[in-house]
Amino acid sequence: MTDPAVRLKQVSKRFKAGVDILTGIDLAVAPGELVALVGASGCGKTTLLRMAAGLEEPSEGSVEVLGRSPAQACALRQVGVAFQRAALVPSRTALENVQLTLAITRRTDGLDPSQLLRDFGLGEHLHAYPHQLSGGMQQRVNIAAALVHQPQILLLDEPLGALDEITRESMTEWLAGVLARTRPTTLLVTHSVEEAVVLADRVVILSRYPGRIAHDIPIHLPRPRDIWGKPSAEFQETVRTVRGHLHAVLRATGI
Amino acid sequence: MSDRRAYLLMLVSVAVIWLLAVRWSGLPPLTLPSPVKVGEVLWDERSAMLEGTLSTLFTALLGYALANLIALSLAIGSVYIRWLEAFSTPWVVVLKNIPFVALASLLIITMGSSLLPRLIIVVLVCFHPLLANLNQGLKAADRVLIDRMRTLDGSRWEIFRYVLWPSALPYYLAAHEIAFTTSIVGAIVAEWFLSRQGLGHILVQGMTEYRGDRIYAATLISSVLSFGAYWICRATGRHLTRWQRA
Ligand SMILES: Nc1ncnc2c1ncn2[C@@H]1O[C@H](COP(=O)(O)OP(=O)(O)O)[C@@H](O)[C@H]1O
Ligand SMILES: [Mg+2]
Repeated sequence: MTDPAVRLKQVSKRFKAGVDILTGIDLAVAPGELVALVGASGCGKTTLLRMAAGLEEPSEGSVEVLGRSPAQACALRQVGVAFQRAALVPSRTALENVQLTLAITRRTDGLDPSQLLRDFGLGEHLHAYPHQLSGGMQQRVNIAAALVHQPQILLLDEPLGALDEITRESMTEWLAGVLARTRPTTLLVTHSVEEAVVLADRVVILSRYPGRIAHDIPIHLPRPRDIWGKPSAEFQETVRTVRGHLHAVLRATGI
Repeated sequence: MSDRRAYLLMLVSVAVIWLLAVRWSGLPPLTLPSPVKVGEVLWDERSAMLEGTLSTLFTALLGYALANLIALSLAIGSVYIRWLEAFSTPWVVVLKNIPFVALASLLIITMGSSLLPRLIIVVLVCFHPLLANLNQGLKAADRVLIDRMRTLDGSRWEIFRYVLWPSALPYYLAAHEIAFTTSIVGAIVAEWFLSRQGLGHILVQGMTEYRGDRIYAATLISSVLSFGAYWICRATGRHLTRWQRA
């Protein structure tokens, strides 16, 4: 097997002495694999992602991205991140925000920003400022800005979490399409089991207090996984299984 | 009512009130000259008035530039040098709260009527809103956006240029609307206290020589300057933040 693109070895994280947020995390993500992280809020999903992005240091253990430290992987301009709330420069248009990623990474082999936004259904809004866009559109710009430089590693923290249910459903399908085309190694935090099962190759369930990996469930469903059209019995069964595991974990930690 | 009409109405009202006051108040022309008389003084003494205006403007602009330099250095420095803000805050707070007249008197007896004390006064009266707003604007920068820039390996300069500065700019522009005008008021007050020149000096002379017409003339000029300063800041500010209204 090839070396994992992201590897956490016996990682623990605490912000206060004695209170482990995460403990004993062993996780390896293969190149091109998409792993979804689910778990109760506050179990440390964001913290885990931030460690993979080099924005937090683990208290114990090690985090490797592309065989290097996360900071070195960032310095190679091989990391893209998108968080729950779109982080755009408010005084720059949608197009300028996406171009900014290329300007900062100095990548010349990136995608064409205006073409990318057109593919994302924002052809009419290239020159709109973030405040003129709906939440769903802002998030599409945010994700475009995260992958325009074609990073090998994509870290998504509840990228659809701030959206209403209907926007969210159509955006999940859209995101599945985008990721199927570009195929970066992806860590995706979500609190929606359906979203995880539609998108992921593996679903990792975290427990809480402290956060550990409770289950690691491979998803073998064929793609594309059209669910809102006509979910297959297989798909529904997988969602049920994952949800069953998640609820057992939540009950065990008293929620 | 549109902005422009409201201002026009205000100007007309002032003229009307003035004329009515001259007519009905019973005050002697020495203390309440007619607009015509003030116009005559403005014209007859135009070289003295112009000289005074330029002198005031020079003090105000130089002091204002200094105030900006100090406020920008402190605010931006505080982003990168952790102790700087903690260190400077007590100084800023104390200086801001010393009664201005006391400070001005102190400056006169120590430095006399040179340019320096006047500049100091201008800096002291106008730098605080600049600093406060810059600090606030820099702190309001989107943390998530900064984190995203860091994962792209953005340099400090890039993070400043693309995140911190755009965040601070609207706050900074709003501060100019207040502080630029204040710098002109500060310059006049400083001249009033300690100078042989400028609009402030013309005001003092007008008082000692009972020249109401000169006082009114200088007041008119300084009002126009202050309003002009405000208007320039506002127009520039609105131009630079026009994206907010797009
Ligand atoms: N910078 C920080 N300082 C102190 N505590 C933090 C910090 N970041 C996160 N935490 C705590 O760590 C726990 C996990 O947070 P987080 O990773 O955001 O969880 P999740 O994303 O799963 O909801 C929470 O209890 C949170 O309060
Ligand atoms: Mg979170």
